[in-house]
Amino acid sequence: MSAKSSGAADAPRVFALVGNPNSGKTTLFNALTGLRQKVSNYPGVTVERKEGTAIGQHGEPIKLIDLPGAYSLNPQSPDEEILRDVLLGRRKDIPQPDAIICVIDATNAERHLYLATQVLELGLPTILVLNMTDLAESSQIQIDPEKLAAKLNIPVIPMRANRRKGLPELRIAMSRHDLPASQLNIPLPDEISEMLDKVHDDSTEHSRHAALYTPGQARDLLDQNQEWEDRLIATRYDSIKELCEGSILRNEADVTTLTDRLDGIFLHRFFGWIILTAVMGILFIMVFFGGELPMQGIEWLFGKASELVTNAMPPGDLRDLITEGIIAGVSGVLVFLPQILILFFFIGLMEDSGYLTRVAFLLDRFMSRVGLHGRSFIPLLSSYACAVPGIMGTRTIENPKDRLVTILVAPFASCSARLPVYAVMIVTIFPSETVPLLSKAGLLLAMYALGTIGIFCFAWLFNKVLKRNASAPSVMELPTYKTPSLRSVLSQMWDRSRLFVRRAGTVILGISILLWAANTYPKTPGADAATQSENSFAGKLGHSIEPIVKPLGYDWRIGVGIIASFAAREVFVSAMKISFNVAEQEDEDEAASIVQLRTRFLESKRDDGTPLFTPLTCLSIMVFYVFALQCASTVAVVRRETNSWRWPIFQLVYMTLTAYLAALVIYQGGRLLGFT
Amino acid sequence: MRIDRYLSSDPALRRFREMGLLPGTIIRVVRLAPMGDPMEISVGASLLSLRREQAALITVTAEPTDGK
Repeated sequence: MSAKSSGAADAPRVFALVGNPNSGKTTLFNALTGLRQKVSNYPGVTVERKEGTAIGQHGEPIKLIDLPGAYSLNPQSPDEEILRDVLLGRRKDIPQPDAIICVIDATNAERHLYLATQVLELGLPTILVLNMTDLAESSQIQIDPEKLAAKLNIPVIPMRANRRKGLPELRIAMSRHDLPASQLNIPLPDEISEMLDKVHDDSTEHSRHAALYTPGQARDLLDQNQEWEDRLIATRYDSIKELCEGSILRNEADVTTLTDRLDGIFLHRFFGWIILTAVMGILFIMVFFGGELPMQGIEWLFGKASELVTNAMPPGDLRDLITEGIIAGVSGVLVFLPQILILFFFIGLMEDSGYLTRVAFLLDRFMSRVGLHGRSFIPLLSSYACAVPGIMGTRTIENPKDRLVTILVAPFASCSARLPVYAVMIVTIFPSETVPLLSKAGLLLAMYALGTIGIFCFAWLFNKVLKRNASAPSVMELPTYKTPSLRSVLSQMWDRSRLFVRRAGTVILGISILLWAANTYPKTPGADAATQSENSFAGKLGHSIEPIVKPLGYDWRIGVGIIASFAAREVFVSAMKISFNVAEQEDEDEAASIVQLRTRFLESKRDDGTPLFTPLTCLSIMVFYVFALQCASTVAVVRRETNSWRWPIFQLVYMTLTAYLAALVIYQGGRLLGFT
Repeated sequence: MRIDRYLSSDPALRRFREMGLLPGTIIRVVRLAPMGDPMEISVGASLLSLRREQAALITVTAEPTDGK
């Protein structure tokens, strides 16, 4: 208590970092805060809240809030609403910042000054950062920061955030206690000024500005009167032109910039496609296969750890909990990290260089046929390796609705965890060695095609059903190309992995332990693995759902397999091995045990003596796994990315229903057509 | 070409104008995406991608410099 008086004075000052998307704001945030960052969510929305601590000139801590990128204080997305609400002090959970750092791209200063002048008019102490001055120079744009500073009466700092140039000057400005607020006040057009006087008779300058950006009578009147709005925007651009006169000089002659030349190649009718195919191919191969070795490494490591515990502890429930519940669970979380790291390495490179928006530009037409955006392509493509990194990659989709639809359909992509299920079913359908490889491959390909059809159909459906955010802007900026900063790329990879382990990881671990318990208890002393499995909770549940899965051609043992693999599809094969008494032998290789499982499958009979694993049953199982959301990790990641349980639960229900119906149609339809 | 006017008063189109696509502004269609949609236009120093559906709501008039 006694320290309270000095505590208030010592509390670090809070700076808000503001700027357009593509202004290099995030690179600057990373440069200022290093790893002293905290990422969370703004309550009630899916917007990420990033905060960090910067160190001032005198070594004092300064709190930095990285506000979402925006084009205007007049919000058209949840991100922009957050920006407006924080800057106007309208949020209860965040006090209005003490000062603002406003970042603009010097190569595109006029456009970026649109938001910057709006922010300056709010009357908070502000530092203007002119970023990418090197690119401006090479585009023959002459910049005079001092002149701009004199006009605005605030510090203006030229910066190359990706090369950390200009950081010391910015730190000095941030440590200033006499940081001035800009007196900028662009006169409103007369008719709007009069209207505001009528609507807000008590108005101060500040509340007049706030009235332009917040819902209310004044805003409604402006929305209804396009001419007023246009005049308001035009007035601002006129003032910006005056500001730039003598301080930011663009060479009037048509300069062909590096970006123009690069776009000539990357967006070329022919070469553009070739480069895109190559880049996407490399991305997919790296996520799909590049993650394999480290993933095996992680599994091997945890396998060894589990062995160690098994040898060190007396047999019992506690040992089983540790080895089969906790260690397996932690391994099940960390095993996703290689793919997440690889995907975000690529996304980071593409985002930072400016190529990511070009991918969206090239593919927008294709994706818009089902109501998605070009930006949905990479997350969906990655989902064919694994939906977890894919869904995390949807954060590059700006429009919240496009993002949600992409998240909802992404798990239909046949991920690598489905492959073991497909593989064992395909060898059961084609047990003979003489079946050409082509038929097997064709069947596998058909499963991929089926999942893809699921993606497109449901994207189309959700696009129709979900209301489009009335004011969602569909214009996309193609930013200037620049050399990506490795530091930002690494920082993003670090952020994503940490968030995954902390937020999704805990849920995955919890579910993994729960499932272990369901498969282990109650114990049947002295019984073999198959009987034990049958008598466990999962086994009993499998029994009790038999009437439900019977129309799909399954018996209770397959039901147990589905229940056991509810958290992870690949568990199906090992659960089947237990149910069908395939002994796990230490030295036996995987292929041999699959052959053994196939033999057991083919010997299995239903209660009425007919064979259980007919080709039709196998196909029905495969189709079920194409559509079902048998993945606790996906559920946990969707929970984290949508910031609620509503969407993951909805997704679990609709995908399971789809899987059930599709398998039902295959099995019953097949029988009607005379297949067995 | 020069932007003439907007055929829709949908407030969603405000963002276009805030990004510099105001009536009276000179713009240039840089290219169409290979599948014919969207289109890339340049306004000032910015390059923007616009879907045809929305671009159809903006009328333009030709400028003498257009042909070059």
